[in-house]
Amino acid sequence: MTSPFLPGTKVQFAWDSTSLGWLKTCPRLYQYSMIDQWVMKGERLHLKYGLLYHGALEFYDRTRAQNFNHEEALIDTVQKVLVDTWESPRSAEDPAEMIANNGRPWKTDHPQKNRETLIRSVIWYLDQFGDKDPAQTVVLQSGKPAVELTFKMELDWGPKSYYSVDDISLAPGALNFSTGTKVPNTQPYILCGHLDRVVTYAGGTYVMDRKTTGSTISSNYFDGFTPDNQMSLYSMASKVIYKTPVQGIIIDAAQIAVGFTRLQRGFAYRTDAQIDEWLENTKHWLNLAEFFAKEDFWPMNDKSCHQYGGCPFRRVCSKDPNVRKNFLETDFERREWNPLIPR
Amino acid sequence: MTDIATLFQTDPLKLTKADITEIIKHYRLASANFANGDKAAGNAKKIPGTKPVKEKSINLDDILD
Repeated sequence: MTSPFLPGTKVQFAWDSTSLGWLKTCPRLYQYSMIDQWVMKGERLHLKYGLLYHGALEFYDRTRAQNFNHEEALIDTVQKVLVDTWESPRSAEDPAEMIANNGRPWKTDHPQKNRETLIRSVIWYLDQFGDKDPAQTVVLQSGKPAVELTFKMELDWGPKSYYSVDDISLAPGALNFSTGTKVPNTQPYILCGHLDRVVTYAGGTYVMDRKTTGSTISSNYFDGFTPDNQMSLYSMASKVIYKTPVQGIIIDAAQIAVGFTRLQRGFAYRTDAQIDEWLENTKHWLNLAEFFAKEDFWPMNDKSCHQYGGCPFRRVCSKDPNVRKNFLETDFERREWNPLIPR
Repeated sequence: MTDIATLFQTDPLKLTKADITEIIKHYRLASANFANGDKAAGNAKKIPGTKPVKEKSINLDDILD
């Protein structure tokens, strides 16, 4: 798999809204999360739960697009979730135990994020928004429904850095540095992402994004998406790649609690001028990221530590620089976050 | 009716369409109870059924009267 960084450098050329969001929030958060690939232990559960939830709703959308009615599609979707959350003997850590039990249900220690709340949330969501939803999936020119669309969008410019090569003969303009041979970059920046669904609603076209949260959903929750990095990127992607100018984003939010899932729909609008402005801002942010990479230093933004419920690295950053590595290795684990890998 | 907990412990490839329908029915009932104000309606440990009726508050004056 291609790295999102220029070879031999820490200059990132492929960006998604997540990594760009880390950079904007705090360069040190970006360093820990994207450059060093740290994630807090236990965070993988949230990622897995989100993927299962989105995968189930995508499956329902695709099934409905094949002219199955709501009940038929719902039954198939619930069965899919049950299968996806069943640990078969082949995936067992202890094969003997698993074979004896013919597999077992996926278990977590999280009261809100487990198999039961997942199935409950999928059923409640689809009963509220699946059947007779005024938001209808757009059919693309290919005839396929516009659901789960992965995009990679090349920009007109790229990092100005040189990067390392092994073979100088294939690299016009190569320069010899004390650290080796380097060539000028020709790789443009790539913006990557994933649209849950593109829909028509009340005469307009929107990108639909489904979110799960543990917090109460209020008007403030939806206000938080304007301005917002992810929603602006998705609006631009829909306009540029799928040639579908959108009014903005429909956010279907699910508050997942122990005893219930509360669902609410909100809107975040974008004009063409707002999208252009976001892209211009992005150009400056990417230049800044390249500067940090060349300096090999990502400064702390100590005014962001307590926002969004508190940064996961706050405990690390609050320690003496000499002992931070120990805290990282204790509370965090490495994982791969690569915007070039489709969800 | 098969117990919902049993269905969750069963290999999903062995579940019938009727079993899946039973799971959906269980959560639809929980959804209705949640809409009626029961914030624990969807708790996995909750026994399925209708929302318990709240006891009417008692005015001591009515008793002593």
